[in-house]
Amino acid sequence: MKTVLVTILLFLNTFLSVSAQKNDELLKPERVYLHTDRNIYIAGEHLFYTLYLHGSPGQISNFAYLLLRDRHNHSAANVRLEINNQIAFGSLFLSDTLSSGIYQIVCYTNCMKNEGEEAYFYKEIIIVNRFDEKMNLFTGPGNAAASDTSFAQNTGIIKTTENLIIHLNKLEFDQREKISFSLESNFLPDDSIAHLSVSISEILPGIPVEPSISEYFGNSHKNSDMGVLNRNQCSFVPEINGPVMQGKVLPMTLSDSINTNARNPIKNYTVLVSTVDSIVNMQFTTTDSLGSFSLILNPYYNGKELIVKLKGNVNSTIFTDDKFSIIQQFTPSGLFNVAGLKDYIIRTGRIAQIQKFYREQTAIITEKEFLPSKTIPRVFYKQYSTIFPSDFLELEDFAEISKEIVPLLKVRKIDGKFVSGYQDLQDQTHINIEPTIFLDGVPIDDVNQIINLGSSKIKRIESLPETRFYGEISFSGILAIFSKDLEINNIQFKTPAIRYQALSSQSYTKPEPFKPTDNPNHFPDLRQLLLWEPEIILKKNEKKQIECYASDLQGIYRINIQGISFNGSTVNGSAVFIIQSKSK
Amino acid sequence: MAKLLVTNAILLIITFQTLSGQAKSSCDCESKINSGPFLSGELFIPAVPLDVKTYFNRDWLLSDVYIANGEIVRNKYIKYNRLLDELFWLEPSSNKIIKLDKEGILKFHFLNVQGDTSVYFRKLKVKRDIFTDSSEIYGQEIYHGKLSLFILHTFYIEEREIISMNKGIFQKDIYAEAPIYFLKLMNIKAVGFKNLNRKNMYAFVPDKKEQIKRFFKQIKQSKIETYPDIILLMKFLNSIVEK
Repeated sequence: MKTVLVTILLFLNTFLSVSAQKNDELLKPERVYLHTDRNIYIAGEHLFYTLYLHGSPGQISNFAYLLLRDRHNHSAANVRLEINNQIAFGSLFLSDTLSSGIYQIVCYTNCMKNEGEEAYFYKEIIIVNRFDEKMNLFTGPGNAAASDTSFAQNTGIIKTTENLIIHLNKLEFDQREKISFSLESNFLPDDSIAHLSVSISEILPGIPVEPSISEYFGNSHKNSDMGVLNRNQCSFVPEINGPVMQGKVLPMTLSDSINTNARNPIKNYTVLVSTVDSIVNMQFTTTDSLGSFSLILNPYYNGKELIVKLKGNVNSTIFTDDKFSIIQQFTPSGLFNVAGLKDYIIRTGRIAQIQKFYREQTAIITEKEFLPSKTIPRVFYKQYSTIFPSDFLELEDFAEISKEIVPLLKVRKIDGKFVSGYQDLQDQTHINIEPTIFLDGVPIDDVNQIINLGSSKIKRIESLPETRFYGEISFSGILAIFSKDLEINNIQFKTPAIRYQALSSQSYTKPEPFKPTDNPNHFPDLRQLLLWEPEIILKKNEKKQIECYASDLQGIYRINIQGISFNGSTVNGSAVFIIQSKSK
Repeated sequence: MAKLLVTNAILLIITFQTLSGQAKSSCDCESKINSGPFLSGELFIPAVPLDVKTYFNRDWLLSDVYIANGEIVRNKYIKYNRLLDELFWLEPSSNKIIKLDKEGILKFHFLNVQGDTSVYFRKLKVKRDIFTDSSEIYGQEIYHGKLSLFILHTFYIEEREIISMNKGIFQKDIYAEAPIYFLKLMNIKAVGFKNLNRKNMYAFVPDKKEQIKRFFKQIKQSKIETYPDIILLMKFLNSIVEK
């Protein structure tokens, strides 16, 4: 009997474990990798990047976040990236005012937040302010770390981890000579195409080569404790169908206003989201048992300031997630502690000054823009009556306006407060409930907040004296007032409300390819970045030809190619060459 | 004693596995977030109950509603009333009937009408007669092509009955169907006909009289009424109309 029971136990356990594994098979944790054009920049230049996302096909995030911060953890730039075919590319303008130092780029998706900040992608770069002549920050000791040894080897596959063949016909080029090479990969699966990014830039020998995309994704998946991610238990929702706004509603208590975890959550409350517009717009959601809420923001709200408020009046506070908050402190790793770095960056700074003198600026091409959608989440489409107060004699306040020119609306004063209501609503059970009032497209608390608005301040009034429904929310009539000077900005909400800046996605940009004809012969050509192509498509066994031009700067240059195929396999390759003086 | 322990262990493991399985499937995923799009409309309380015969679907049917901003509101229980030419939604939380804003709807698709998964209604702007302005109607899309055919299901009062109910006397209208066929060529305004007969087709495509004549001769009917014949006519008309 005991044996039978033990067998059943083992069978059940095996069966359940296998089925659990099957469920999770599709849910690999997401990882991002960022390929940048260089790793040393002068403030005032652009940083070009391509971001690669690796995850479960069909269940992959559509948005990633990129943050640039200094050693004091102050944010220098932060952007939202929209991912297409597992990649996103663009540029960051490094403001002229940035101080010299080592900066850190951090990239992640909302889904990756569930695994902790260890799962994020981190990369260090140097930004130099050209007016900082001392460069004392960069006088570290020589570094014994593994240096870029690729130059010592032949062209073609350089490292064992590289699976992209670069056919470079020579290793030394003259100044301004045409550099031509081809690349191919036999490692791509049949009928698969890879998206690649290519950078050719001057390097400082000694700075360790950063991990390739193959190495990074290989290691990060190995190091992932979870192995697979159970997305059903995510507290940060994967942004697959749109950007997600998440937050929490907690009761406001005087004694414990800071420790949010100690408070009882506000359950099943409706959270309203809208923006200032000439059309009444809204999205809503309800809080769960923990007081949390999540909302897939309509693309119309991209880049707009939103007003987030509770439908009911409850003494509480709304907290929304900050997409760019990072707890982990940035401590530079010493990656750039290389002999000769100070001289190199002083030279780079001088190059930037000369470029400024000759007004040489990188022209940017915008490949794709992510403009806010025009699909407005309208609360109503029906027009019952639109009233223009300017068509009538001037009325002092809204009490007079409602009495004289808004049909069916009654505003009465009870105990020193104004109360509004529509007569003859279809649903008599809602007889004493006030209509929902929108000011400049945003719901407000009650008529007292607009009572001082006279004809001179109101552009138009839309009135719907009927019981309305918008999704599952009902309104005992709708009164929409549009002011001349956005009076909504002067409103003090009685119900909990906050302003939330919705993000917009950064455009896909890249530098305009250099053409020798655009640069007069007597002008110096001091480009340290010879080529940046953020998205090249490569098919299996295809030989892709790439061309660029050497500049006047003599030095060592590195071709660095990273990429990913549709099925998630990674490709990368690199090669090093020299540009030398024609006379040599 | 040992047997009891093993049994308890099994029960404990099964309970744990079941609970963990439930936990996995009950959390908030992106797919479970209800962020819209939402339907908008007004509460519908008719003064006189509507004749059930006037509904296209007597029961609430699951449908996808395509709203004016281009978004789709999926899996909502709706009813279409042919007499009022209005779409109603059964709001699930209050169980109330909502008359949806016609201005906010582009089309709706009944997912399954007695096994038929291809029942679409599209909002059209038509001129019903020469005296009135253009109005918006919901036309059932019968044929979609270069030249499309829509049916507006209208009624007329065939007779009036006086009935006594609850010690009172009421007048009851008996309705009879009178569909109007709308032919719509690409983005040009729809043209309505009470019948799909030869005369009306001559009026619609006056320069193809001979071909129309031959078609009607071929099908041996002067008026098209059945669904297969309507499809035949539409295929024929699509072959003769110019872009």
